[in-house]
Parts: sequence; C-alpha cells; structure tokens
Amino acid sequence: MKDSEDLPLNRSDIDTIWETFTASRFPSLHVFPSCGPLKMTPEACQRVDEELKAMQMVLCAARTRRNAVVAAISRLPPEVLSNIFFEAQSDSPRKRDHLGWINVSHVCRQWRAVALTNKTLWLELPLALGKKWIRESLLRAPSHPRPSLVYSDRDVGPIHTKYVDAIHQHLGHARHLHVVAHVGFPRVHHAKLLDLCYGLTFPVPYLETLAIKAPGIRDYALPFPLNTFGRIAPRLRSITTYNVSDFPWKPRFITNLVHLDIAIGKDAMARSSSKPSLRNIVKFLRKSPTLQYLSLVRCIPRSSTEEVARLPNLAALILGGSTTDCLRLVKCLRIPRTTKVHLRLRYRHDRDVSSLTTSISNIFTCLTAHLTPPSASSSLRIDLRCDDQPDAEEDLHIDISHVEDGASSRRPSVSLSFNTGSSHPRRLDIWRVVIKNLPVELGKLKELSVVGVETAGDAECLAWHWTDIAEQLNEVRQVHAEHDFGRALCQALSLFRDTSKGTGWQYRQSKPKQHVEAHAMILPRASRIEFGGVDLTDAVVIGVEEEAVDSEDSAANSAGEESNDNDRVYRLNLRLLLSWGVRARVLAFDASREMVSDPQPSLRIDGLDL
Amino acid sequence: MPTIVSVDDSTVPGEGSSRLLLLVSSDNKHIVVEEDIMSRSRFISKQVEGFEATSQRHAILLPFSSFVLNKVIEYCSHYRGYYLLEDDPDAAPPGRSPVREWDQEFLDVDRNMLLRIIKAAHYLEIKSLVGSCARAIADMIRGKTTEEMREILGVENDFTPEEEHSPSSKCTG
Repeated sequence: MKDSEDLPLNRSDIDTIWETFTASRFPSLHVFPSCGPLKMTPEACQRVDEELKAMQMVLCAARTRRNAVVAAISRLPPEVLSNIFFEAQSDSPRKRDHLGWINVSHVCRQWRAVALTNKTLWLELPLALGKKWIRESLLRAPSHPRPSLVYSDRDVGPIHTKYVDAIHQHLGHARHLHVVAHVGFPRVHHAKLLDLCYGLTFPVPYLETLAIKAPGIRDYALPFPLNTFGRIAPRLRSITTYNVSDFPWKPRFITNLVHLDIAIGKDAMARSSSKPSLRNIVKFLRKSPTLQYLSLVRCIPRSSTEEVARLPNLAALILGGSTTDCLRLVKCLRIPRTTKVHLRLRYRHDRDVSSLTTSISNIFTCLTAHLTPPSASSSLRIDLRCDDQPDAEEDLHIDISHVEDGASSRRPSVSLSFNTGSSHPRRLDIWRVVIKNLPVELGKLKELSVVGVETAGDAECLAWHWTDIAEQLNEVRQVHAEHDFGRALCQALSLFRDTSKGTGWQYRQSKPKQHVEAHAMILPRASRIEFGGVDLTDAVVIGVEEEAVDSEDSAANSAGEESNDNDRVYRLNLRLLLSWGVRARVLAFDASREMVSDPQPSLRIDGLDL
Repeated sequence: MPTIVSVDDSTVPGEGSSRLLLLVSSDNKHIVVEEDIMSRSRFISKQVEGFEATSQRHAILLPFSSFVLNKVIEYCSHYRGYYLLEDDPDAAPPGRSPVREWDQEFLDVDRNMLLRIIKAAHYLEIKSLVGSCARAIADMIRGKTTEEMREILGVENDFTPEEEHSPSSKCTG
C-alpha cells in the first residue's frame, strides 16, 4: 500500500482502498467517478453522511482498542491512572493560556473518563482559567470543601476583578488561600488587591492556611479588614503575609496557630498603618502555645511590656528590625533551648561602633539559655561571617541553632554575620567588639569558623585583633575556613603558628611585605584545620598559587616557595609540613580558585622527600 | 485473584520459623524472599495470613515477570524496616507522594519498565511504590500538551469529533 511509512497515501493508494474496501459501503457513490460533479438526492446524501459518521466511529473504536492493547499506560487500572493525574496536578502550571493538568482529559477517552470521575482532582478551583472552568470544577465535585484557592501574578498576570470575585465567592469553603503578587503593579491593580483584602470579611470555617504575599508593593502595605473573616476561622493554623499590615492581633478567633510569618517590606514600611502595641502581640502569642514557627520582620512595635508568652513548641524564631525592638520582644518570650533563632538586625555601620557593644551584649544575655551548652561535653561553634552585600536590608545577622554532635547530643551553634561593605574601615573594630562581648561560655569554644574574612590590606591589622582575643579562643581545637581562597586561607593557617619554633606562615603582599606570623594568634590546642570543607589536618603540602612575583622577591622567599612553569609561586608552610607529619597528599589551589586535590605528591622541597 | 498452588514443603526453603516465601513469576522463575522484606506488600501479607490460617505453605504465583518482581523486591529490601506513611493501613491517606531521592534513582528506568513496576506495585498493594511511580510518570507529562503526552506514552487520540468539541474540552474561560 505505502511505499514508505513516512510518506502519505498517494492517489493510487486512495483509489485502491476505495475500490477494494470502501466503495461497497457507499452504493450511492459507487456509480460516480471519484472526481467530478455529483448529483444525488438528499436521502442519498444523508446516507453517505451517516456512513461517514459510522466509519469515523469505527476509526475511534479501533483506536480505543488499539490503546487498550498496545499502550501500556492504558492497561493500568483506573485508580492507578487517577493517582498519576493527582501527582501531575502538583506544580502544574496555572496559566490563562495553559490548561495545566486538565490537559490529561484531552488525551484519550479513557483518560478523560478517569479524570472526570475522580472528584479529588477537581477540588482546586482553576482561577486562572476563568468562570467556565470554575463552573466545571464545581460541577465535578459539588459538595467538597475546596482545598486551595491559588492566585499568583506570575502565572496569570495582574489581578483581575474576576479573580477577586472568585476568591471572595469560594473562600467560605476553601482550606488554603494563597495570593502572591510579585511584581509592582499600576495603581488600578493595586486597587484590586485592596479590594481582595478588604473583602476578607466572610467566615472561613474550613480555612487552614492563609498566605498573602505582595513583595511587589512599593508604596503602602495592603490592609487586613476590620472584621477579618467575620471573626470565624476555627481551623486557621498557618498565616503568612508580606506587605500586609493591620494584622488582627486582638481578636480571639485566631488561636492555636502553628505557623505565623508576618513581614513588611523595606519600601512598604514607611506608609504602613500604625503598628500594634507589643503588649497586644505578646498577648496574642500567649493564645498560641502551639506555635512552631514565628517570624516577625519589620513589624515589631517600639513599645514595651512586662507580659510574657511561653511558646514551648517553638522550633524557629525569626525576628527582624531594629536591635532594640527585637530585643524587647525577645525578653517577652520563653522558648525552648533548642529553638533555632535567627535575628536580622538593622544596624547602620556608619554609626559609632561602640553603640553596638551594648546591643550585642544584651542580645546574648537574653539568649543565654541557648548559648549555654546543655552538657559539659558540648561545645560552642562560632561562625564569623563577613558578607559584602551593599543592598542587604539588615547589617547584622545572628543565627543560633543546634547541630548534631555525635549520636545523641546537640550543641549550640552561633553564627554572626555582618554586612559591612568591603571598604568599611571599621570592619575589624566591629569584629573585635563582637568577639570581646560574646558571653563567658565562649571560653568553651572548641570550633572557630572563619568564613569570608577576606581583608585585603588588613591582614596585619586582623592578625593583631586575633592576638587581642586569643585568650578567649585558646580552647579552639578545630578551625574551618571557606569562602575566600588565598588570603583567607593564609589567615586561617596563621592561626596555627607554632610559636616555639619561630618561623611560621609567611604572608606576602606586593608592598609592603608583611609577615603575619609576627602577630598571628596562638591556638596551642588546635589539632585540626579544615578548608573549603576539606580536612587539611593530614595535608603534607599546601600551596596557594598567587600572582607572579619578581625575581628579587622570589629569592627573598626561596625558603618557602617553589616556582612552576608559569612563573607562579607556591607558598609553602614548612612549619605546617613538619608539625602535621608527612603523608602522601598534596593540596593546591589553582589560578581559577578551584581546589585541586592530587593523591600523589607532585612537589619536591629541599630537604624534604615527599 | 492470584493463583496459589500448594507446594511440597521440601521445595520451600525456610520452613517453619525461617519465614521465607516462594514467589513464582509469570516467566516461571522461582524467587525465595524473606517474608519480612515483602511485608510492605499488603497482598503478600494477606496471603501469609492465609497460610497461617490453613497451616499450609504455598508458592505465590504472580502475574508479572521475574525482572519486574526483582525490581519490586529490591525496593522492598531497601525499605526493609522503614516506616513509610503511605504503607501504613491505619494511617490517614497521605496527600501527594513525598519525594525520596533513592526512589528517583531507583525509578530511573525506561517508560515501559516504569509502567510494569507500577502495575506490579498496585497488584501487590505497595502504596508507597505506586505513589513514587505515579510521581515519576507524572513528571513525564506535567506541563506537556495533549499531543506531547500522547507521543510520550504511545496513546492514540480516539475521540470522535463531537467528543473533542465537548464542553469539558472547549472551556477556555
């Protein structure tokens, strides 16, 4: 019949099929040629049409049979197919021009039958697809509470009245409401968002999760209405808002929350409605002892209170705002020792550094319970991180969490992160202030993580500060360094200077030549060093490929350097070599700053046979 | 219903307290597996309960090949002793199947094999495996057009023109 499977039927094929197979089914057409004018009675025409329709049905039936026999997926039981559709529904695109998971109902008759008869697939109202599909969805599962009402401008574009109406209409039988407006809108769309928020006055007996996020808002925050949810929201357990002000802190109908995350954006904060009193917030929290996650960013009022809220189930506490405001709230909370605490504090580095001292000291005093090791065997770990993010909204981040320490015990882990900008002249002052003001438990510090303390030009100065605080860090047994290859490594290594032998790590800059070892901090108990996640304790040779140097300097540093073909210099810490013992491993850092680990020794140094 | 044939006790290793099962695949391969491994399968568990009631040991004939059966056994062996919510008959039915990294690697097989595994898992009533397979298949079709879905899974469009133009296919808002 066909010359090739890829070619369509040609004219002679069609004629052959007509003569041998089809003609007998169309007696009315039999006497006429395959082309040319036809003169037929209406009855004959109708018969032809009916026959064509029947053949079409035959074709469809044959395809159905073919699917049942050939397509493996069609042989799956309906409940399994339904399961697949259910999985396909998650993360399915919700766009105006894309039916998303509903496309499965257009693949074949079997898939459609399965999709249409499974009510659970139709519980999410497809807001983006408009009224017809919402109606279709309601038709499929008329009596079920809707699990989700989801609107995201990234999927369906700026919010439209029909979305607002649909949300208001169906919120009363929804379990989850998610509204996200990412991008900044013209005022007309902002008005729609306002309509949406003002309309949240219906009782929501089924609502469990509420998330309204409008990071795109640039002028003023969205409001909660006065009569939020008609004061009926018995199942509400999770609230997440961003740029929505006037949270109803007072009403009694919101109790037993598990998740509360309220944040006001940097730009929207200025015009947001008046903040509640701290007393109201603490009272509200007292009514939610079930809280496991509490995040309040830029919405903590400036007032103070003596009220106390106990949150025995709290797993994570995130507070953002001014140091003083956060501090006031921290004082009002009683939280478990194991709570992970993240403080995002605003502290402008152009202020007097000394004012930071009091704040840091107060914060650590408030969090003493978290910093005190739960058992004698535990130890603190401090990460000193210096981020360089000029656009960051907060300058000081404090993270307190607990890390697994062996089989059963957990130890506190404190991370301090500053955003000081790369050129800030007082950065080292801040470091010194912070480290000097860490609590007494710092004496038990056994791990020090130096993350991103890359201080071009400050090496000598930094070393001086290390020396200044060395007394507090003399229990450190492990050092982690990462983020910046090169100088940060040099500084990390300098912590291990063996003072009794005199010669240590030599750090070199173009001008003037500096010797960090003269000021390096003494960590006599340190026995392990880790860099970039790699344990260097047993390393034999550590080479840092630096910029090429002139011959004079090379000669001056010949004791600790070896040039390669590219006239680059490996700076080798012989003291480390000697003190850590000779093992067969070479670690080097190439010019692209990617660490190369070679199990075979590849360098020779005078006097040392590797 | 599965075909269960009585077998001579001597042919079944692990008689008595050793608790071994003899599974026979459709290609007549005999596979001995510890009962404990297959306890995740509610179908097998029910069969074993039947054995205990009648005090007779049987081989369990299964309607899929040894290749597929071995894959299922590999899955059950990996999760031996693990609690998976989906397989707990007393737990409330979970929502969508959780993403398990090992499962994703385990199910990185061709389409036909994946369909065979899900069918076998459904037969053996291993809900966690059914869920993971369903998720893997769903990943293939998510975000695709109907034509692409048909092509991926080898399905023909068998709608009549009227069906194609039915309301549920033409609602575009």
